[in-house]
Amino acid sequence: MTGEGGTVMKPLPKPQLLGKQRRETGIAGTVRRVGWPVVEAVYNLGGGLRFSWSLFARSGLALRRPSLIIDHLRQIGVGTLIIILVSGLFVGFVLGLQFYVLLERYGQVEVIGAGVALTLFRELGPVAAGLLFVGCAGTSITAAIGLKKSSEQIAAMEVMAVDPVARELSPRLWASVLALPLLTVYFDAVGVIGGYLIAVPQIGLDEGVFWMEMRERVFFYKDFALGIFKSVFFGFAAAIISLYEGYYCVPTAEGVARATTRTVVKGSLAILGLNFVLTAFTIE
Amino acid sequence: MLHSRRQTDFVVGLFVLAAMAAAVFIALRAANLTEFYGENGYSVRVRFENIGSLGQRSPVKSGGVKVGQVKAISFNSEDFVAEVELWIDSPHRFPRDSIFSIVSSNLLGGQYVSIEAGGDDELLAGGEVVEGNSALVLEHLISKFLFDKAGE
Repeated sequence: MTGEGGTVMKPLPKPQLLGKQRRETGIAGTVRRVGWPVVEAVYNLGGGLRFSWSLFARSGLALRRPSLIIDHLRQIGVGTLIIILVSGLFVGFVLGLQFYVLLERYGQVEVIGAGVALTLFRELGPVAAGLLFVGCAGTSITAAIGLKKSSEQIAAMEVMAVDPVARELSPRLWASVLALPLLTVYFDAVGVIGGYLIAVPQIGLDEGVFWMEMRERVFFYKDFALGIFKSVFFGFAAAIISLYEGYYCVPTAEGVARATTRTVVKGSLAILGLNFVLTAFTIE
Repeated sequence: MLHSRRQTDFVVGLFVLAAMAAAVFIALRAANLTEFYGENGYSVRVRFENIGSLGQRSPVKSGGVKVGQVKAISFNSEDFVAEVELWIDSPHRFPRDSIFSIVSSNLLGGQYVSIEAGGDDELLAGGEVVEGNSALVLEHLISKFLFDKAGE
């Protein structure tokens, strides 16, 4: 097959093991049953790496035609915006209240703003936005790709010598990688406003003190930009997992449903695990 | 396509623009973007016997007003004193005999360098080295108090 770039493209092979294991009894059977999920997980990891590599390698079309990315940015980014804004506001409210309870015991209520902003910028913003993103945009990616597969649109594209990975999958990857950091910025900003609404009109802290303490203790690069940096990685992880689950789902209604569930499970765990690793590496 | 291209472009453009506005809001309101030291300023090296918990970027205040920040802290292994490099914003000039001391902003920490202006006609120039009053260390205070009590 020749794609729009003129390069020869093969459809991605599905990572699968040969045949289903026979049900066996005895010790050997037990060992096989325990070992099977492990082997399958390793197999999926290898397949996932091959899949991610081809997503990157075939993103030339998406980068040449940014309108492909922009179309998905509307669905993925703008579609998730409302839930991000509302949850950010409520997370800011709760952080404001909890920091008030904590700081009041030490007579340090003035630093409430700094506490809210640091928690949001460094951890809660990127992670909460990432988890919401997986639940909202990741599932929609998996469902869209899975449905295209079950209604044989993917196969039809291959027949028309259009590379489905370059035309359908890669643009979604890059749209996610652009959308999640932007959504994290929204989450951070709205959360700070939520903290302000609790601290100043509700608790009665002086407005000037609130902002001054925040500015004094929170740094743009060291705290805020660090969180945005993390969210770029979360964008990659969420998109690759959603696309993988959608592309390799069993092409039935039941299969798409299972794939969507797996996207949420794997995507959330990937973000939380990745967050730990990134935090451990970037902490001073 | 569900939506027309122009409409999509507009909505996405608005999305990106508002995110930028949010980032600017954070930069100006919530986070300290001025991590770089202002171009207009001069540095003064102050020698302290003990700097307590003073750190890089700790504020430098005079009369309670922030006039600069701590740029670097180093240990002079010839004289065994701490050398603190202060970056003072250029509109603020101080007489030569000003007193530099390290004080606490509250009981839980948060120390800063306080400058009390002296009466000298000559002003401190950039790069000068002056002596400062050390930070009050709680343990030293307690032991001094105990020795005084024991002496009575």
